[in-house]
Amino acid sequence: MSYITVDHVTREFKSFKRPKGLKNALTTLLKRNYEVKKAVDDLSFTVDKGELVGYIGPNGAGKSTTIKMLTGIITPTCGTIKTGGIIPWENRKENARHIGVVFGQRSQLNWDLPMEDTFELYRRMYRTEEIKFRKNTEMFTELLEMQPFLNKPVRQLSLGQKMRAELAIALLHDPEILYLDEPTIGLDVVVKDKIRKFVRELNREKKTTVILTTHDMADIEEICDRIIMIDHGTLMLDQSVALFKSQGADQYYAEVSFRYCKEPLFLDGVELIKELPFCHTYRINHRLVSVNVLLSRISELFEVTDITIKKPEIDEIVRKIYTSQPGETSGQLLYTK
Amino acid sequence: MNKNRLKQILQTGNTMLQYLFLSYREKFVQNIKKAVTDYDKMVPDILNKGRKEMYWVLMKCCFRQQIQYKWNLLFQMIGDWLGIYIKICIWQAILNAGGIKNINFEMMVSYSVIAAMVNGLLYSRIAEELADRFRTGMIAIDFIRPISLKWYYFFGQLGENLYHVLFEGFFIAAVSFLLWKLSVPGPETVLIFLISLCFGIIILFSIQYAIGLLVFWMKDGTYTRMIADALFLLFSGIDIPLWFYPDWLKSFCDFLPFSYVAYKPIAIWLGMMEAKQWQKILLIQLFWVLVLFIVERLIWKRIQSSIEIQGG
Amino acid sequence: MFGLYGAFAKVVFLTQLEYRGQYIMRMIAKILGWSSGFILLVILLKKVGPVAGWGLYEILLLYTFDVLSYSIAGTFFMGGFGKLPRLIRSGELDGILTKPVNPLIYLICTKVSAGYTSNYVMAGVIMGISLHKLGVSLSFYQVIWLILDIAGASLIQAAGFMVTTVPAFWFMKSDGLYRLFYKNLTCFLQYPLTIYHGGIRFLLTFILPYAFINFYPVQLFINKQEVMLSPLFLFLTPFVGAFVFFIAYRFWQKGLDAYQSTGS
Repeated sequence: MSYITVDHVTREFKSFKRPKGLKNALTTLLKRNYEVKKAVDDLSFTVDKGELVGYIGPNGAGKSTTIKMLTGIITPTCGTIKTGGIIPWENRKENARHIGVVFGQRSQLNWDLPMEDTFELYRRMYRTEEIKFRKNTEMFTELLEMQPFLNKPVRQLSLGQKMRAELAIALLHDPEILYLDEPTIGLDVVVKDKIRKFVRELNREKKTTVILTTHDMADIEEICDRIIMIDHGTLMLDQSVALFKSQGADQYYAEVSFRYCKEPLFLDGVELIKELPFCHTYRINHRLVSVNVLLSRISELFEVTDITIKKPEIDEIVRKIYTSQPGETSGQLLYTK
Repeated sequence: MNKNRLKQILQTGNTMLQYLFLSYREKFVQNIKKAVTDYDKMVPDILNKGRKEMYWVLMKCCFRQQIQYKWNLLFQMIGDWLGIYIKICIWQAILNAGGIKNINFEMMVSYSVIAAMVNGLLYSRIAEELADRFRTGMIAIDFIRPISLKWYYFFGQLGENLYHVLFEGFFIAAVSFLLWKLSVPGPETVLIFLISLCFGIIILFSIQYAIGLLVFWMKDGTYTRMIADALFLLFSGIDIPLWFYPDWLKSFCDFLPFSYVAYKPIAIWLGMMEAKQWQKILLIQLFWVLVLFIVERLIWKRIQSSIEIQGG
Repeated sequence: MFGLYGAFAKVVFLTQLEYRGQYIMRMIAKILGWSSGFILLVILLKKVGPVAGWGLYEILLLYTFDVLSYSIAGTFFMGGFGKLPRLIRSGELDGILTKPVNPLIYLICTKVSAGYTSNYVMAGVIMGISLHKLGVSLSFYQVIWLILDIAGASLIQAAGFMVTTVPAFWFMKSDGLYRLFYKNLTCFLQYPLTIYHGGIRFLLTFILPYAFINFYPVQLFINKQEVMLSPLFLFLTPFVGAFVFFIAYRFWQKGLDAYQSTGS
């Protein structure tokens, strides 16, 4: 039984077309041109209870619009959404009681209050029971290591501390669904890691369903079990993270450092993509060249000092899918170090 | 090398180091780039053009931006009319009561209309904008830009204000001059009026700018500006002509820069007795421009040095 | 439920008091800002005598009704509604909509402003002085009625704020609306409406009932009955206030609906 159902949802936006030039600007005094854009176009998917879903797509793909519809902030132009049996925008308050939302780019905390007071306000707002509240505050304070800054006003906190605080208040009332909209944006590696671990832990303990949008693929890799990708408002892809990652598995890279080289490696399915003195990087097609053959050829041709073999990361797969949208021309995997 | 070793090598592809040196740095650089391009969008074309042209382009941009909002234009026009109408009703009622001699209705109406126009040219948001830039730290970028922040704001604001005055001000002025058959002074007087008005605008702008800079030491810019606005309202004669003030207060106003922004230029336009010595008025205005320029430089110096000390 | 909002409001109010330096600065600024209006009025009326039969203290009384009700409305509504376009653009409103609370009440409670306290004091003092100078002594029932009048007037002002800022849900930039239909039109209230054209009085009585903020209710206390259709107008303010505020509330809900379903 699926917990969240998104069924043929479309959402349109009207936007005012800005003209160029002084003369055209003057004509808009008389007449305005509107443009109807579909931010989300006939989108359907379902999510089960307790799933960890990464919701990705390039900028402007319609991610935030979907989240806004799921949380009941806006209503779709057509189609239906149910989260836990509730239509979010029709029972907004009821829905709000069952969800927790964290927007990475905007704070919901009161700037002047210390965290403790904000906790108390949220307890009253969500009418959380005292015992549950106490238990949750303790647990989150410990897991997110918030003790040192609990009684400092929010304005004095660092970005990382603020984000941990945001997470905590979004979860105090034990929501069944947690929406995370770019929760790790602008954070340093350590805090990112802390947050990722926390979300996983939370999911294990409380079976919270998590829907996460992000541009940082490491978030997906470390938090999510499943990936949903949209672009131009339509569903591009919906599969498990493991399956998704295996897409890139037919290629890998070999970086060979050497003291001496007879001639560059030349084989079917092997391509030299970067040539430096004493260091070559090759892209290898897994299906055409076996590892044994590759290694023996390398040891024949080079006097090897070091060899590094690297699989494409989730980042690269995503980049490949994003960039190959329009014409399949730029769908090249870029090897970066 | 055996297969196990290979496997190991494959796995080490996903190390923390990579996050640190690749994605993290990349994101960081992207953020900085974004901040800079955002800033450039706000100053379109400017950096590509010559310095002289630059300010002209800036004025045109602000002018163009304003045209986007047609309803606002209409509302503002009606609002300005209402303002003048209210003033005229008040003067009518006061003159009807007969307590005032030697001031006639026409003069009062002229004063109100011209004052409304002058007020339109004086509008400025500079204090708030400066406060915003200090708060967000964008001021650091201003330090390395090849344009003067002061004049950037000045011309941007002037473009916006000129738009208002051209589109509604002149219309209102034309209609009211026809409606109440107000007289226009000779070209000489108009010219002197315009010169002294320019000085006035520069004076008020310098005050606003200096106050805006004070934000560096204060949390919030709006309140310093409110104080300046109140002083302007009280001592400039923009709301009530200074001839209604008791004598002691009127002479007090002469020692402040505010009346040289509004009352004195309008008095020149109206050909008042006290404005016959227009040379004196212009000289005092020049004096204030210089004083304020020095004050503003001093404040700026203080800010610069304290930024260097703090290291940003 | 009320306890929650009360807790909200108290905390927000207290934290504003926390920045003492800034608070004092703001006090000075506000006192100067608002008293400059009073001072200009006094300067002018001292010089020219009564305007349309209204003496200095009568006009000051008009002014205090306006300032006081504006300040009360401002305390609760300015923070949220004055910056509504920004709240929408920054997504803060989205955050509010993900909470299980009434958005209007949430907005009012979290944006309560302590900055108007100086106005209360100032307007109260000037009201006392004016009433004293006019030789008006209030009976117990009159004091109650005065409070009801101020409450009604505040509701009218609040409705004015709301109705002129809520269109931000439909248009991006709507401050022109606010300036014209609120700021500019309430400028009429500084002087007795008798000095204006009948059309203006009609507009301010029946279409945008700002005249009930001060012009009609004040006349009860100074024994005047100028330009009103019926003596009943002297007593209408609290009812008009409740009525227009209700309409404004419905309008806000309409705006919120539009934001949720059409958006921008």
